[in-house]
Amino acid sequence: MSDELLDSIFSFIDHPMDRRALSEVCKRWYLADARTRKSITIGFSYAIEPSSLSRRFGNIQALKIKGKPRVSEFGMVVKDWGAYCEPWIQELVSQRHPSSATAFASLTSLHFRRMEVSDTALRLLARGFGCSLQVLRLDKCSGFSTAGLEAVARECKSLRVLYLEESVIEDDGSQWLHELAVSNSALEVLNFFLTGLDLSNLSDLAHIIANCKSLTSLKLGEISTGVVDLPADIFIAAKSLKELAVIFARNNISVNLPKTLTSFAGDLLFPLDPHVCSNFRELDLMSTTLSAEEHMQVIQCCPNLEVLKVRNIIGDAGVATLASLCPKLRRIRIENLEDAHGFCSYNGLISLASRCVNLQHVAIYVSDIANSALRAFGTHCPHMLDFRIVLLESTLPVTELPLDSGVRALLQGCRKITRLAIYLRNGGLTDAGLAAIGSLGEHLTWLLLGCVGSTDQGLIDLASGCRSLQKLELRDCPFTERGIAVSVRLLASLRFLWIQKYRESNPYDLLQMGDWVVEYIVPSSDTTPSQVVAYRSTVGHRSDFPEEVIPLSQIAWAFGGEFHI
Amino acid sequence: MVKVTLKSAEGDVFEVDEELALESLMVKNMIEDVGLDSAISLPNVSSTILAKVIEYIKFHMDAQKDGSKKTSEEIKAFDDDFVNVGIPTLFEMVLASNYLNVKSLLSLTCNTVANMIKTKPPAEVKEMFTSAKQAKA
Repeated sequence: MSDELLDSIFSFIDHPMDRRALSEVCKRWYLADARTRKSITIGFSYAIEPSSLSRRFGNIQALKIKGKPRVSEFGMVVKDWGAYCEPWIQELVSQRHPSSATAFASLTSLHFRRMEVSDTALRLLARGFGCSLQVLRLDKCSGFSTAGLEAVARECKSLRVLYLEESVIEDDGSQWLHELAVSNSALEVLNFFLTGLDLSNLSDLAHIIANCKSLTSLKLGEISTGVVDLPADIFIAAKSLKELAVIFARNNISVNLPKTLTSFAGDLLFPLDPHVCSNFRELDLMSTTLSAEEHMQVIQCCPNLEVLKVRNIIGDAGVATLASLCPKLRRIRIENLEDAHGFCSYNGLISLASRCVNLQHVAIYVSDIANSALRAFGTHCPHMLDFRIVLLESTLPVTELPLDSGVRALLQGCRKITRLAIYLRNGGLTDAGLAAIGSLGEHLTWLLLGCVGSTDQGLIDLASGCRSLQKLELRDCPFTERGIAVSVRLLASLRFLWIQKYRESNPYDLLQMGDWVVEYIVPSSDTTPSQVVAYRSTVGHRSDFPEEVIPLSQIAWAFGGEFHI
Repeated sequence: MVKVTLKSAEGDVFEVDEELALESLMVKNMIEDVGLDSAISLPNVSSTILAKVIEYIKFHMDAQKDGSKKTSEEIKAFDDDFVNVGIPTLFEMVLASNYLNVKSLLSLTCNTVANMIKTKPPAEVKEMFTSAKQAKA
């Protein structure tokens, strides 16, 4: 069979796991995979060197790189931890340079997640890619300002997607948005929701809406109090708009929403327009200050919701109403944020599970829990992919712990779960519960455990199963370094580990994990205990870490393993 | 209706409508080059496979005609059944549709091979390809 035919066959295979298996068949298939791979996700930026990407996958069209540990989203990783974007951008740009032009000629889409992006890197990227860059996602990134964005807007005139959601961006003036308004008419997605950037001058926004006929997703920063003359029909002018996110800093605003909208996030203004709301498939009310009653009014207008993010102020009664009115829900997130709190418990979960049988993604902070709630999901929701439950810290008693039988029933019923988070209180699961996760969790790729387990044996039993597990996060669990290391050796697919508040004795015991890079992060204050980040890497130890990060090396261990900090 | 004569590797002769023959870009080019007077020789395609290719093109041409009552489910059922053959035959069909340059059949057969090698461990895939090669030899 010719290379051309092999390439045709490979073009029908997209899943990275399938691709990885095929590349291991023989040298010729390895090369065919390398030639035909269209997109690559690097799950952890220190796993490989940028140059090895260009050597193997020079034909990709899309690249996604993930950086800092997930817990950095909760401020739990030291400042300047790393995950710098610049070495990657340097490599991409230098390979594309006309003088060499060895790789990445077809690369048009870049997605960086939880990475440190500097303005210098953005300027380099803008110059190096220019009009060939169509998609730029800086997703939960930090380290850059609107000056860097201005360079991107000026040089990359063909951007279809500029996504900055939840990045921490320094506000150095709104010139970037003006540049975008005057030089781009291709935008389909513009997102600077929850970035700290606000919107004070509406003429650029109006320009973008008028020029970019294909604009389908518009997620804005807060419209500042200085804006007094917001045209009521500003969003109606966006004829293709499907997604809108907007937050208003001042009250008494009146804005009409287009009937094309299927997704809304931010401040939903009253009185509600039922003709608009009934089209909503996705609703994010996380950043609103609506009362429990107002939430009910909203939900009554939105019977077609498939995705909902709310604060737990809606309480058990709200969850029950939601469950009876929105049977199409696929994804729900109920968070506990500051200000007003509500009480969501196993009662709410049971009504949700029994009515919303299409649920695939559940992430809920509860105030009380019992096995019956997890069992309900196992019984009614066979499509579940991602299940996360966190029991809030409180002095109130919990109805039922441990949740061993509940977790077993959940995993027995929901056979497709790949991502699982169980964060409870001490004794939340015994070793038997962990063993159940081991024996039933063959498809799990990500697992977060908090305040569960009794002894190392529980973790070892878990690790004897879970053969697909790639990322593991352990917090406040009673495991020793030795027990963790033994477990990691059993988890053949594991490539990333984060631990905090374990039974600390000798961190060098973690080196028994074998061929891993292990970084110990010293406690930064009384409230932030030590943590360990460990990962598999073809590069070995990195050098761009801050002083709080101590790489544990085999050599130090061999010379006695004395541990001083 | 003008007829075209196709000759397989074994020398068997297949007489088909010109409209059908033109679905193969390779045959189309040959006709443009040498005309319709003599049989078009296809030394790389066996009689069994050529018959299958003709069956495939004929079904899809009929399905696309005005007045055809074939639903997309029926078409899919035909395709699924059509490629439900042993690996050696499937590989021969990949090679033949590539040689004859019949784009839709090439996609169908390549996609079928792709689905067969997906989710299989490397060793199993290797085994599958080696045995297909041996069967052909």
